[in-house]
Amino acid sequence: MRFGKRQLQELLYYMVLTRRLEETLVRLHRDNELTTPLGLRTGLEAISVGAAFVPTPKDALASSLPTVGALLLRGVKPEQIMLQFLGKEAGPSHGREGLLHFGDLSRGLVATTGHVATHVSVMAGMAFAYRVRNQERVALALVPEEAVATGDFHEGVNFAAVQKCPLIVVVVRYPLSREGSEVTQLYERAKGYGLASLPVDGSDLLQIVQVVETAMARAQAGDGPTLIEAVLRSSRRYFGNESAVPAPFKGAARLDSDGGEGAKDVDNDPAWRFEKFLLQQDWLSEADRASLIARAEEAVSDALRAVDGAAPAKTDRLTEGLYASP
Amino acid sequence: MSEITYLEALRQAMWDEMERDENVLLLGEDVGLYGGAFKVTAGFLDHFGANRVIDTPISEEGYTGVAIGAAFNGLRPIVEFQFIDFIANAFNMITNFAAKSRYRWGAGVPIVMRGPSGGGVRAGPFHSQNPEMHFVHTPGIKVVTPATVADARGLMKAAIRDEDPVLYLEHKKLYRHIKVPQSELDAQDDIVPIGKASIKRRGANIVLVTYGAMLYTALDAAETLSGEGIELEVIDLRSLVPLDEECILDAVRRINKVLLLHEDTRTGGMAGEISAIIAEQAFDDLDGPIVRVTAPDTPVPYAASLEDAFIPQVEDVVRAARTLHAY
Amino acid sequence: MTDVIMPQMGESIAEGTVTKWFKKIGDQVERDEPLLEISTDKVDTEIPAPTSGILSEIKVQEGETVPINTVVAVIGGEVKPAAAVTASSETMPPIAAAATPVPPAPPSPPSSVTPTPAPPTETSSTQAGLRSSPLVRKMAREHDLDLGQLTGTGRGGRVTKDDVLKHLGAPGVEPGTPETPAAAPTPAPPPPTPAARPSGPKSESPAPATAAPTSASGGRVVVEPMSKMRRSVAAHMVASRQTSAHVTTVFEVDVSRIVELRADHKLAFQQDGVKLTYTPFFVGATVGSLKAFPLLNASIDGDSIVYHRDHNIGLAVALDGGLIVPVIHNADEKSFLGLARAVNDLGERARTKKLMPADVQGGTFTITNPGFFGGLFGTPIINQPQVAILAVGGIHKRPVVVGDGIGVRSMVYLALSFDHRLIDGALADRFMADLKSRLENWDEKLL
Repeated sequence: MRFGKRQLQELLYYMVLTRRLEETLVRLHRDNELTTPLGLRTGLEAISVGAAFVPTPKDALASSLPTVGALLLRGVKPEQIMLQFLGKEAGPSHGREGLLHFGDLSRGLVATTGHVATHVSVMAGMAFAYRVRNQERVALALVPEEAVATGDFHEGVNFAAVQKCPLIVVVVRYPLSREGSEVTQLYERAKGYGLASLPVDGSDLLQIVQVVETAMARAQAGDGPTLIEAVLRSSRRYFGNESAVPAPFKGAARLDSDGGEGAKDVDNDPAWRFEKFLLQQDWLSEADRASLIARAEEAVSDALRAVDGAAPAKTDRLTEGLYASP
Repeated sequence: MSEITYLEALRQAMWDEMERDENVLLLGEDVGLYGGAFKVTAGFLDHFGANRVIDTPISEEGYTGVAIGAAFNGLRPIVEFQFIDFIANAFNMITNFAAKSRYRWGAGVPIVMRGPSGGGVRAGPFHSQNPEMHFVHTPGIKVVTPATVADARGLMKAAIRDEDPVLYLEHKKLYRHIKVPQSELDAQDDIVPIGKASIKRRGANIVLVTYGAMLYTALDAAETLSGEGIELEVIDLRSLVPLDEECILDAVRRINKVLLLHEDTRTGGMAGEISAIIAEQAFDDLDGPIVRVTAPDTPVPYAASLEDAFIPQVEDVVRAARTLHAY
Repeated sequence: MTDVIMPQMGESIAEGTVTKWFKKIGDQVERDEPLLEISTDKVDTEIPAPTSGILSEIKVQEGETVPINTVVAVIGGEVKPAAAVTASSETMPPIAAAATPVPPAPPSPPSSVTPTPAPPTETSSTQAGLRSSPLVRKMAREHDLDLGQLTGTGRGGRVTKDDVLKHLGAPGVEPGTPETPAAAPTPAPPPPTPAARPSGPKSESPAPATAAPTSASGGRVVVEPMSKMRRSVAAHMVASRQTSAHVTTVFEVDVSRIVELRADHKLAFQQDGVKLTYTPFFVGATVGSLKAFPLLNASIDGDSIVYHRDHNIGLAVALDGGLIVPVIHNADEKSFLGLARAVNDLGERARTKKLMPADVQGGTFTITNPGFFGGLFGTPIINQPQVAILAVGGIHKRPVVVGDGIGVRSMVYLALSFDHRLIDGALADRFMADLKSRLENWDEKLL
């Protein structure tokens, strides 16, 4: 796929918006407006935006990583994500769920459960259905590396391999591995399923877009599933109340001069790195950048206004909606 | 006149629905080439093809997940567990994914999960279990337990057409033991609505509520007791979720004494739940204690002597009924 | 808190009138208990409560007409007197969560707390140390009995239900007497339908104002507004005539075999609690023919033909001052007994105003029965958006030529009105010939 300047800037916009929204959620959490765990982490921007960019809403996507960017790219509004965390009636799950656990089949979004790999076989099932119904679609499952230790991961990937389902599984490896497996290289594991695996730098947006495109082409050619191993150079997680707040995204140049905590990470942070790349290529002017950041800030402020005073989830429908008919 | 077994009725129902709706498909271990461990799906692969009859790797959790995903894409999968005992391997997928999706985010999961349950065939602890209560206790799943040939057909058709996950528990002992003439089956409705109990015998002294293969134990006991002047009314629940509370309560209000019978173990069993419903809603109509006849709280044992002691027998029911009648 | 809404009682219905409230604000209502009565263009019916709880608000008063899906009442909310704005806004306690350790005394709506009946008032008959049962104590209260005067025959001298019944002198308490099955046979076959005869409903109805408009303009008339249902029937009949190109074909069918079969099996069906009429025979045969000629089970949508895969057969049922067409859904999936039961059930519920919205929706073909009072045949008006309707005339014994002789046979005229826009005469006649053959050669095994 060839990108125009506008599209590249749009990709950067979604990464910035992701970061801004996450910062705001962390602030709400710090201010005790939000008391439940957030489960967010930095460093995933390139993966969530890059993996969701080429596939369209007809291609199902499910993730057990906090891939906020993928949701935004699929048209979920920042205020919906806030309402979800806040447990409001107007939120996407009407207070029935927290975290990023919501889905919307019309946007191709499948909600995962609280477990790390339960969705792998479900996405294999969607991919299987695409294949038997001759639909030109792919299903994407995003998991952190811990998932490869589960039976769910194995059963789902194995089924997809045996049935040649158009499934793409993105396995994200953090800098500090949890050592979930003696086999540390995913391609070795992929061999066991008779599958191809594509390694990619998880901080490099354009590389990710490219491998997802390749995997989609393989899937559509009937070659079955592909494992993508995306290695992050830097990632930090927010822990409960004493969240490790990420350095605010202010643009690489500013941070460099600030000498802030994240400065040394410029090349490791997907958003900064992509911004730097666009600036170097002259595909982004200072004015473009300023307006892009302003746009993201406005989107988040709008969202904050929209959720202000939102009603809590209503109790009168507590027992409804469990079955199709009462 | 040809005779139709419970197994054949189940098979016919799946066949008919697969003919009727091309979105219905079958997944499970050995359901295709081999035709199923009990030959329930013999001939399906040849007729419907490999895209609709899928031999899966041994991976209950995985292929249940596949069925859920396929359902999100508009298909209506029937998942077979070769023995229902192995449903334990899919517990996470059923209780966390299938049961909760509609409630959490509005995505219905129209799948049928079926397989042979129950004991009495000397198959030991891992091929004889009655796992219904794990799922009765999980909001979001419907549970049916056909005991007759017509219900085997009618509940399967209803389950396939249902928009929610349905656990369809066959009793392996009934597969080839229960049969009726084709004409008798033809005289019944094709569809048996989920959530409706059926009164299989009328009687004025004690109402016996049961389900699954225990229906026949109940009917045999009723016959014996009738000779002693004790008339049992026998209710076959057919569906555990939703439960036909009205049918049970109506009988309790008419008859005033209740005996609850199941093959499943005692603690946390269906009988306990029904007892509570009766105690809450029909306390003033009771003329005696609510009595349970169930298996004891142990795994299903293998040896014939042990298994017979484990599964409630006709004499157990007769004894309990006599005591209750004299109360 | 649950809203009670004005239901949609048919595809083309836009509004309904509340004719009666059975409960007042503050009353406890049980789920499925009749709550109000409504009148719509198509049907007058009772609306059951969708849930149990206190009727907290009535938003639409008797006599008012509102669009469908309007909230007419609220169950389980804060009790709001219809007139005054509630004075005590701070009284509502927060809803108790399931985990609340000490639940407040009033039943809390959402969770799984089962409504508990009010504790019975103590009576003098309650005696310490006397063994009985909850049921026996209830019976004692109801009959004002002193249980101390009874001799208990239960375990340890417990007073049993039978002891109380014997004391009361109730007959038939010997063990082993089966109770009468709850399902009583439903009375009366579906009565005639005015569908084919829009001129007037039943004889006892007051003469419509239009009966003698000009000749009696001097004064000897009674003017009465048409009921909602009558107006609706009138509008639908005219609209159907304007929509479809009606043509009627009439066949004569020998139903002697069906008459015999019915006589033979009537009793057996009665034992199943089902009154066996001729209608299920006609429904069953019609479904068979519809499957052979799917165009008759279709409808027209603009320039498209919509074939219905479901076979939902409407049965016109006459009511006082109008008619209604309840529908047997998926009639092809029912056994003959199931059809007979459905015919009984729908007819009964139509007459007792217990039809639910779904019962009158989704019909794909209609059967009407104008022969009840002796009519030979009628030419019915199509029930839109369907494309054909079958009128079954009266069954009469007639001399007919059998072979080279003359025999006495039970004969009936069947009239099919069809929409010539979609169905040509030849096809209609082939359908009727097929139907005739199914009726004349009815397979006893199907019963």
